[in-house]
Amino acid sequence: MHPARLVDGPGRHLEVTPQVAIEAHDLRRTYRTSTGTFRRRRIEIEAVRGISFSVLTGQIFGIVGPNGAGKTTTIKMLTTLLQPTSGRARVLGFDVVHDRQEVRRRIGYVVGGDRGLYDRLSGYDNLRYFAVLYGVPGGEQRRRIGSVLELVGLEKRASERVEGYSRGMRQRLHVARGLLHDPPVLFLDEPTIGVDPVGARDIRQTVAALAAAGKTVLLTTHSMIEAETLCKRIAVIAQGRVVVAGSAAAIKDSGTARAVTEILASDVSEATLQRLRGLPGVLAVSTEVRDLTLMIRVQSTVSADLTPAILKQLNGARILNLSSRQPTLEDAYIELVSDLGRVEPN
Amino acid sequence: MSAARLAVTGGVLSFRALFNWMRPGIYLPTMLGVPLFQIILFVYLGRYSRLHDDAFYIVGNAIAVSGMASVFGMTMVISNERYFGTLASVFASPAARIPLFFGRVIPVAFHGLLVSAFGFLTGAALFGFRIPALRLLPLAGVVGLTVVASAGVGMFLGSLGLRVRDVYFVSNVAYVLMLLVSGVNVSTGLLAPWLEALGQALPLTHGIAAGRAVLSGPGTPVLRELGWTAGLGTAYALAAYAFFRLWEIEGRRRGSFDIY
Amino acid sequence: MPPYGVIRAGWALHLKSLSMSTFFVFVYLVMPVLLAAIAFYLFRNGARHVSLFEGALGTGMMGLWSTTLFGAGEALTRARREGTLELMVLAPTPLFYSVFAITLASATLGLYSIAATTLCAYLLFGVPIEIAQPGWFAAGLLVSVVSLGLLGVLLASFFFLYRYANALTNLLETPVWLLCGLLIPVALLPGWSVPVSWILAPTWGIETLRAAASGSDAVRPLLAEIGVGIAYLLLGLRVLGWVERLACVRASLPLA
Repeated sequence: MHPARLVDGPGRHLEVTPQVAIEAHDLRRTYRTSTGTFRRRRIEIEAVRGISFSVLTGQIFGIVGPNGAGKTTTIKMLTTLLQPTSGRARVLGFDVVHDRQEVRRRIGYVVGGDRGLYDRLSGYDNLRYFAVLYGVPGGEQRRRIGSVLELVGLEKRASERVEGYSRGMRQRLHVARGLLHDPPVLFLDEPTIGVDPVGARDIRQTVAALAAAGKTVLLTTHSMIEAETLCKRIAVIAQGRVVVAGSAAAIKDSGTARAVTEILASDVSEATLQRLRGLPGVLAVSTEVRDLTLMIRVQSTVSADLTPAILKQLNGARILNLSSRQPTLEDAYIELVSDLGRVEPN
Repeated sequence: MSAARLAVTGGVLSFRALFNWMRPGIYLPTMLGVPLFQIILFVYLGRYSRLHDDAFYIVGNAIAVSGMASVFGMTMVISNERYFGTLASVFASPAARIPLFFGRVIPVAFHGLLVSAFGFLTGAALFGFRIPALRLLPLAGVVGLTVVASAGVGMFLGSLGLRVRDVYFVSNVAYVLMLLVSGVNVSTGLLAPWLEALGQALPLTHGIAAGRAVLSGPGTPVLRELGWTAGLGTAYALAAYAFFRLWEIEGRRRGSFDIY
Repeated sequence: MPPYGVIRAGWALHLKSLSMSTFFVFVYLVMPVLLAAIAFYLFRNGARHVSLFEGALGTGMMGLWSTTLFGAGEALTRARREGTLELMVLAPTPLFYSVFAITLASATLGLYSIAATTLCAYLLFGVPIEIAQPGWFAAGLLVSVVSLGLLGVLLASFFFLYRYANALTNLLETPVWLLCGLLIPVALLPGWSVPVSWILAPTWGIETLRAAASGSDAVRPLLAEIGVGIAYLLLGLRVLGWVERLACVRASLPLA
């Protein structure tokens, strides 16, 4: 983001530094629950343990992490739905705890999933209700509804009942809903979850266009590909903490992996995988089951070819394919989160 | 599996279906609280309108609530089986249908008896209603028979419910209708002819008539009404059985039990 | 300055949705009409010869209470299940108005009940509908719906806070019918019930309607109903605030 330059009078330039749209300082959230039926014990679960970051105006910021990492809790704190146990957060300068109403007026919140819409009403009627609820002035409503429907590409299907919408259409309607009152900041919680690839791509394009028009977007996702394509900056969260934050390129570089070898094989035993892990220079070995075969991904530090050593370990297994490539953001991510003892994401 | 074993198994299952979801916090208000207030409402209504005496309303409602427990209980058992998908596997089994289903009636009927007893106790505690000791056993018999017969109606509604999306709407309507036409609060002779005819087709009507007759003195009207009660209850149960077989055959022919 | 637009939009949406639900059709239509029929037979044949029109009004008001009760019981829990509760909390309008819209819609269904029982009386039992002061009658209807809507917000909050509330809703239906003297005058009930009836809006509602129909003083009970409604409003604001705080701060009640 480059500073805006204003020309004021002959030859004089004023620099205006970009605004910080969202900032979080050491956010924490603890849940207190009780378990057990007879002897109820109180447990404290620290869902978010000190998250800090900032998002500049007009940026798309992504929070990525495995399930249970604290993404949804964080976004709920920023959207005033949940109060932080400690720490501060501000949206457009307004505190999320003390200036709740001011924040709510300026944000749009888009959830993923099937809920949050009135199934028996049409898309258009849903938007009409939410337009009123979100304080869109009466005279403006029709125009705004029309323009958000056009933006998400639902103008033709708006008069149908929502219960007949596909997941992708619902998601687009959610985005439309979030934009009704033209908020400068948008929060999207897993916006493409469960959506088919074509629909997901449409949603991403819409989000990118919104940012280009000057809106600030914060989205959570557990897809690294989505984060990489859309987000200028990413924060990787695991177990309630920010593991690393920065641009996609920076995160890729922060991983120590230099090469990735992928082997498609069958008849591979667990012992073999353990031996692979023990090879010198190997950082991580992850596997993905594909029908009757196994995709083994070996991340290693040395740029020298580990292929002979790997093949030797896999002696006895049936190898269908082997390839080497440069590590992607997803590889860095896997490495980062599996370092913390987490299972690799899907 | 012998018929008796089948019946007992079915009984245990329906017992669990009835009471598994009912924690005391829900059971007490619904199954005991509602009858309690129903009796209070209609006794006062009777006093206000000055149509019949207190005993008329207490007997009528105390037996009616047992009918309610029966009808709701059976429809719940059946729709529970549908919900959990076990109905299809029941039909897939070679077990004999009759003991299987009638086994399910027993906990429901027992439960209905309890609710009725509670109703009479309410009448005694709040309105000083007394049952002569000699009449207790015959009354219990009448209520017991009514409850089983009402379970037949419940089965019938439950079997219809397999086709209808909202079976609870049907059973709720059926119950309030029974309050109108079964002589619970208005003696049947005062109703419009078509309503009276509807009432005569329900076992609860005859059960209540028998109950009132037992308390007013022994005699043949009791036996006649009991006969009607038993007969109608069986008729509904048979109709339910017929519907079940119908759906079963249809399901087999169509190759799917998608109604389950 | 209350956001009338939000209330109206929410009210219209929920009225449409509730009137189509089979459960509520039973509550606002089937049950009141069947109870009315029982009442009509009793009143017509009983020694006291109570006016059937009064019976129609009484059972109609019973329907008004039932719809409010069950609507309130459902309001917040249904919104949570559907995922719309979060969105209501997030809206710039205070949560109170979104919830009030729902409970007002449920109370409005009660108007259908009164219409149905009165129609049933007229068509099936030949009861003449005579309303001496139609203006006050209409005012009574309106104030009843609004005050019950406000009571609904209170109820909705309590039900949301208490996990087994659903069972309670069944239990509260008949007692209130009795305590408010909707069908049977409060004078027939034990003495302690009279003060309790004063804090329940339907007590004043039915009195207003009866007074307006018969031509006596409808203003006094109407004012009492308005006063009770204001009390519900203040209490409701407070209790709903607890709901929001428990949900957002302590996170002990999920909003979704």
